Amino acid sequence: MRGLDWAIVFAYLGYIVWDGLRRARGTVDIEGYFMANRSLPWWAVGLSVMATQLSAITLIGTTGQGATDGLRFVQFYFGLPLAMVILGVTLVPFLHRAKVYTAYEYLERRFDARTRTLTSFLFLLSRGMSCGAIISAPAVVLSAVLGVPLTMSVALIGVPTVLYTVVGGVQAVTWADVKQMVVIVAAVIAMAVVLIMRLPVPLDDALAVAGAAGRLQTFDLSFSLSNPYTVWSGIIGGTFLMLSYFGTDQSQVQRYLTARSVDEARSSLLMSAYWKIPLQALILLLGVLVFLFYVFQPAPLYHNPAHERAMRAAAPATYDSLLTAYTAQTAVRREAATEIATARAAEDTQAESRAIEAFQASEREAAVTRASALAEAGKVVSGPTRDVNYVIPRFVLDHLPVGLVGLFLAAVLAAAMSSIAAELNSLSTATIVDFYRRRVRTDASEAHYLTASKWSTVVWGAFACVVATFAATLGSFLDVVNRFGSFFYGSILGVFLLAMIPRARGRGAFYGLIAGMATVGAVSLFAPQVAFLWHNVIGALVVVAAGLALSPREG
Amino acid sequence: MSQRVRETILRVMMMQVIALLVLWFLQQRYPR
Repeated sequence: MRGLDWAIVFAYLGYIVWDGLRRARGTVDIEGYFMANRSLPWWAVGLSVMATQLSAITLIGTTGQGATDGLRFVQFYFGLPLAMVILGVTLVPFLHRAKVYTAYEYLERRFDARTRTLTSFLFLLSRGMSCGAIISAPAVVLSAVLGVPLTMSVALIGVPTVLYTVVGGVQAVTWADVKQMVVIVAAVIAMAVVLIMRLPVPLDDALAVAGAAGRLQTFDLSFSLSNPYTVWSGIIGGTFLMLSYFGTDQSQVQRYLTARSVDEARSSLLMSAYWKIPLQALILLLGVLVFLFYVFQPAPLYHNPAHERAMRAAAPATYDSLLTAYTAQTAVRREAATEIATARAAEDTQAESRAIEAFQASEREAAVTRASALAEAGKVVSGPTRDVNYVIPRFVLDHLPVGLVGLFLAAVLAAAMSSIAAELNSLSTATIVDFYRRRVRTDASEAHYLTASKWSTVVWGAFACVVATFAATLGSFLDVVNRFGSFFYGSILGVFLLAMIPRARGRGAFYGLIAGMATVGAVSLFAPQVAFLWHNVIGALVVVAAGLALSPREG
Repeated sequence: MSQRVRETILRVMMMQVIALLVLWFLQQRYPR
């Protein structure tokens, strides 16, 4: 990182915070603070929906996955456009016309207070913890690649975000999201252009090399309950996951409740549906281009610098022998890749087939060496050594020109901040509207609730930063919370589906929700091979079935 | 649902078809 790169990062941070703070003007009540007086245009809400979903770990982890695994991860999102259309037709008009602050408030009007309290509490529990995780994941990576203490990288992400979210409320969050989305897309496109320009062979030939390594295989039509990356998991499981996320998670519902009208709320979701798969494919393709870059340039054995340092210090002989083997294998791979391009230019199909075979053999050998290198590093650092999240940051710092490094770092911060800001804002909304105003102080002034909302955002922000700082020590506890979170995601969707069935009653919704969560818990415990994407399908269907069975028939 | 929203849904679906065709083309043209 050079001076210009840091200047870009601080210019970005300064502008986002300044712009957020000035949005505070004119906010006198919680309708303005949490709902922007339901006045925002569809395109700003749409960009905010996309920026909230795209976290920093999506940006660096998904590109890393593109480099190591290829395009197949995009199948995960195949259900998203369908889910957005379904929500636009069904749930969005219900929630928007009800003029509620939270999705769970609607459940009290439709069913009863205990269903609202339970769903809102489950949201606070899971999102409160995940907020810490979405700060800590990029903070850990930035701390390792920039060589700064973890507390500093947590502060770099957390402090500006908390500041503009507390002061400016949802207006600041949404308008910051718009700018952050622009920064993210600009960085991804700029990096893709630079990578294509640096290819030593024509793009068509380079893509043939990527294809030979299986990086351009998107569609897997096999049916497997344990593999989340197949067309069927994506379309069926993905649709239920996205229905749960965009339809019942307050961090997303609040985005489109701020839109001017039902039609504008629908359009904002449809905008996200329009761009999601192309954008996700572009992000994965960036990873594939990084893979190609390392095919034609010397590739690092370890992407995480901490692993390299640890191995050099603790097991130098093993490190040297692994490095020698990997360097030799990747040199053979480079030669074979160049041979593929030469044979294609000469239209010599036999030579091309031979070169592809040689390339695939060396690619397999290099993959085996890297797997054993990571296993050896695991013994030294005694912890998990999956380094897919380090592929892109390491590449950026080692190989991108000055200026672009700063833009990439600004994009990572933008991706992290946009997700965290929306979550803090929605956590505060649920705390104040579903609990404080509903149960603790039911008749205070608007000014009191506005102050309480700001303090609630401060507390959630501080909590998220503390969880992020201690995420390494809290590791297994956070895993438990995240797994627990998957138990009720689909089940909450089931309650909202019940809400649209006229016969369903409060008793059915409440006990149906508990039955759904218990079933998913049992599936997770006794059939761990079932991929988490299917948990949402199971949870939602059990809640609807149990809810209807427990709703007394009338007449 | 307004005419504008209906047209947007149609555009969304067309975009998905185009995106999937591009990904299918990449898989077919550059096989393993």
